[in-house]
Amino acid sequence: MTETTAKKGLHPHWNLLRFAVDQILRHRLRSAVVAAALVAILTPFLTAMAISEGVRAESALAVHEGADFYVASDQFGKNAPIPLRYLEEFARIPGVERAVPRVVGRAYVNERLAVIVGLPPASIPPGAGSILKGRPLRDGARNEALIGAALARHGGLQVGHAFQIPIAEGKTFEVVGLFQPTVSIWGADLIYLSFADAAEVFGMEGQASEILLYIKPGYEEQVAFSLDLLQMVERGRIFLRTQNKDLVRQYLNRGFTLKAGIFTALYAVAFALAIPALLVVSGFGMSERRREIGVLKATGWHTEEVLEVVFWESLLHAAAGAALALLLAMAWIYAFNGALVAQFFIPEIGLLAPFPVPARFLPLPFLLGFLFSVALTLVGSLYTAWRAAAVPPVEAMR
Amino acid sequence: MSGARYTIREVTKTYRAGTPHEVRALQKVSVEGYPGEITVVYGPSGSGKTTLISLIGALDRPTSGTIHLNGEEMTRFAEPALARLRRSQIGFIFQNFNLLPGVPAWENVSQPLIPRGMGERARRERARELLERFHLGHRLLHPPEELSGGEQQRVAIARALVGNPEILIADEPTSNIDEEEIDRLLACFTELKGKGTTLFVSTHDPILRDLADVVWHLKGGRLIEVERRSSASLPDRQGGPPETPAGGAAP
Amino acid sequence: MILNPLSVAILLIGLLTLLLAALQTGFALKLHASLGPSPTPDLRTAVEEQTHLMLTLAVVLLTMRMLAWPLFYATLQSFVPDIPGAMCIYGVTQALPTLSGALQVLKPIGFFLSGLWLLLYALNRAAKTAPLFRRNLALLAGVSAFLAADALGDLFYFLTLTPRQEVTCCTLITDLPTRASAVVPRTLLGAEFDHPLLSLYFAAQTLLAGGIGLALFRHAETSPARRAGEGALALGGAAALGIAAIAFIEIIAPRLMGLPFHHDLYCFIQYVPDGSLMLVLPLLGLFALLWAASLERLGRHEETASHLKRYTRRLWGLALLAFVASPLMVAVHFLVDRWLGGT
Ligand SMILES: Nc1ncnc2c1ncn2[C@@H]1O[C@H](COP(=O)(O)OP(=O)(O)OP(=O)(O)O)[C@@H](O)[C@H]1O
Ligand SMILES: [Mg+2]
Repeated sequence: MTETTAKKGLHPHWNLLRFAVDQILRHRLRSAVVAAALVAILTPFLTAMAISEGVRAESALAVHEGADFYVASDQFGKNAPIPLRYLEEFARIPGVERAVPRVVGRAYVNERLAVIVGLPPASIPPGAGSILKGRPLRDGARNEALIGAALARHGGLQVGHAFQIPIAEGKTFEVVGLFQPTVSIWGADLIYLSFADAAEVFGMEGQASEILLYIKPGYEEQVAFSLDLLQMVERGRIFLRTQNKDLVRQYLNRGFTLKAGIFTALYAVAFALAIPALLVVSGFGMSERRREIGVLKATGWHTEEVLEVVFWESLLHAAAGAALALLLAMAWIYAFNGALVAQFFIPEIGLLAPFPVPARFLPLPFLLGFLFSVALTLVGSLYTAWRAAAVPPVEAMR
Repeated sequence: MSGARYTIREVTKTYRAGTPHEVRALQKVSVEGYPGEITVVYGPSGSGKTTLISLIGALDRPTSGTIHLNGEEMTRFAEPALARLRRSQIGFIFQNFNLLPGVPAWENVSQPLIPRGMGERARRERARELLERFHLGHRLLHPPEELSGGEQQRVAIARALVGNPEILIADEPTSNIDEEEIDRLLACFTELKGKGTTLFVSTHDPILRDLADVVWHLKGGRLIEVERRSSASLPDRQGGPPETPAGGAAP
Repeated sequence: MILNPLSVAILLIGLLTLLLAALQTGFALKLHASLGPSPTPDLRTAVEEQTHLMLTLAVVLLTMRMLAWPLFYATLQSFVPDIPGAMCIYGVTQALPTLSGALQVLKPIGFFLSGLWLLLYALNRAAKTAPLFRRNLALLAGVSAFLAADALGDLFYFLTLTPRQEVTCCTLITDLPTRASAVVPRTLLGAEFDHPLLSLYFAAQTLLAGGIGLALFRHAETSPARRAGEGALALGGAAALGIAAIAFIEIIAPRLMGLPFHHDLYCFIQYVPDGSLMLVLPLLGLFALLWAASLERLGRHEETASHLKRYTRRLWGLALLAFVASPLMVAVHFLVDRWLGGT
């Protein structure tokens, strides 16, 4: 009696994996259907995760280039304008390099919603990007505007054109330059005006939306302390609302993980719904394999070995599906600018974003996508795998 | 009993038991099979030949009764143990060959070795060796669809022999091939017997009876006669080692 | 709940496990009941077919639980910015301390039980007439119920954990001089226990490895002797693991992190990339010893005798590997640190 109990090492598993590859190639149609189903499910997920990461990275960049403190006043828990007289007080705080007033508002320009930012022209940040055409705003000049390239394109504006802002009757602005923002999603629909113009447009003379403080490195805590002191002195007259860079960054980050989380949750539901679909798909063509598997069993294969082959097949399908989905997600973003998915993460851009949608393909979402697809194929093909493997060897006789 | 390879006792096989379509394919069959002999299972169509040899080949279980293989009650075995039997001791040639479609001949032959962990090169070598022995060295890469019936059968025989089984079982091997092929087949069986292999061959073709040491006559699921044809008498074999060749007495 | 991709993933996996494990439990119980002591061949064939469905389910369950284990910690880590006061995983676990503690204990036990079931399955399969079949089904029902409970715990935990729970972080508890992990070595080895404890750690691991090696080399033939040996090794393994745990918390983790006064293993697995491996290996070693001891009791049968011996040897081999590998990794880290520090 020669029982096959001898040591065999990993060789059988390697052989079974190879056999699974052969099976996949032999049953091409079946494999293609399963992989296509996985790709259909995974591609939007990977696209969304990439866009989410891209947007997050861009906003991190924006925060990085921005001021260290944003000070506004607080009215019933909301940001409210801050009187300009604080500008000088802030500038006197030791450690503050610059204090810059800023007005931010939204208005329609040539029937497109634009974000209007008013700053002293010298303080328009390098983050505004490169001037494509024309020139930057001049110090002290009025009624000039620097316009984001995308807005200019869609609003039909060129250097030298004039436009009006409906809420500021009687004022006419001249486009003196177009710029290409480094941070595409924030800068695309941006109009820079001089601080005085913007304050006039939004009826905020003598006030600013917020005052930006740029701090010498290492003075953050001291400045925060001084702001607290100032608050105590000014008690009753104003409540200061201060946000520092880290806080802004954290808000942004949390916002994005939350959004990504919501998206993943929606996706989890889709995944769960896809399990029965995958069950059907993976059962596709299984009946014709019954006899073949009966033959394998009759020639001495164990059920576990057939199962292993089927599992390898599922795993390979999952891997192929995930890889293909990654390529398609890249194509979706780079060729179709993330249409249909991007608006979930970037508000108010419509079906097709007017600027290149930022995207980053990081390993973690891909790994997560792969894990999802493995879980999906394993659960989805579980029943089929068993039906396939538990064929009695007499089946070969029929 | 110790000398018998198979001891079959009161074996009954009922298909669809308990339903109106119950089929009693075998009824109370008791018989013994000896090592190194060619046993021909002979009977008309539907008499239960395939059923009986699939029980012998560990492909199925009887509804009642026991089968001992080498003194062990294989009817008590669980499926994994039966699979190990099929893997290590039994080679089976199916009535309709049962080759994997679309798979080259050499892979069809070596397929049972895959889960045993034999490397691809060794498997290919082993398959080539066997196929060349059956004059199919020029058909290694052809899938069964591109082979004639006789060639397919030789591939199936090669596959059954790939694990060096002690027991070879063939179900109606002559039903799909012409006379020339039959002659080759008989020569092959005789040669295997000479090497000590125990053979069971089911047939309704009287030609094959001449090959046999023993003929089991089946009819309507019952064993009606055990006809001993070889000159060697039974008691001589008792207690001998299982591999003892049966004298190589070719018909 | 705190919503992010990881928390969704672990909830999805938890939900799937719960469903499948509940299914599996019912299934195993049903088969166990339907399969009397002497089943007819047809019933047997039918049941055997079902067994493979259970094997498939069990493998999928096990895979998902194995994914859930590291994912659990990754998810906790992703919550760090959301929980005020938390600076590492430890802080997050303090939001719902009892539940998170229980879940962290359940996960390795689930792994141990699943492993034990797989081993018993393999042992039963290696025997000719499947003599352990019903025992195997009963164990499977228990293990599945356990996994279902673990998954249910995960679901409950991640659904109830809210971002607004204020916690204190690890440094405020694990680094006090009165911390629990320091009390035992201090009473046993004195106030300056650093060097003695480290020596004790290496000595204990070496001693245990030696014991396992001896058992492998001079394998007892008789069953009672073997059982005694297995019991002794399992106890030794538990002791070695305990010493390793204290040594890691008190000395090894702070040293390898380069934070000499920080005694927190959560930070350790975050800061030292192979830290979790160093911690999991001795646990795996103990499991292997416990598997061998349990298998000897659960899997005893005349048909399985020869296989049992083989299984025991393999499990001991695994334990040996695990118990040798972890201190070796620690030693290599120490040497590399010293070498880098020297230049
Ligand atoms: N799976 C099955 N279910 C029901 N009845 C079956 C089954 N397999 C075989 N039978 C019946 O059992 C009887 C014996 O069948 P078996 O295949 O053993 O005959 P055989 O002698 O091999 O016939 P042939 O020479 O035609 O191959 C036949 O009446 C057949 O119809
Ligand atoms: Mg037949």
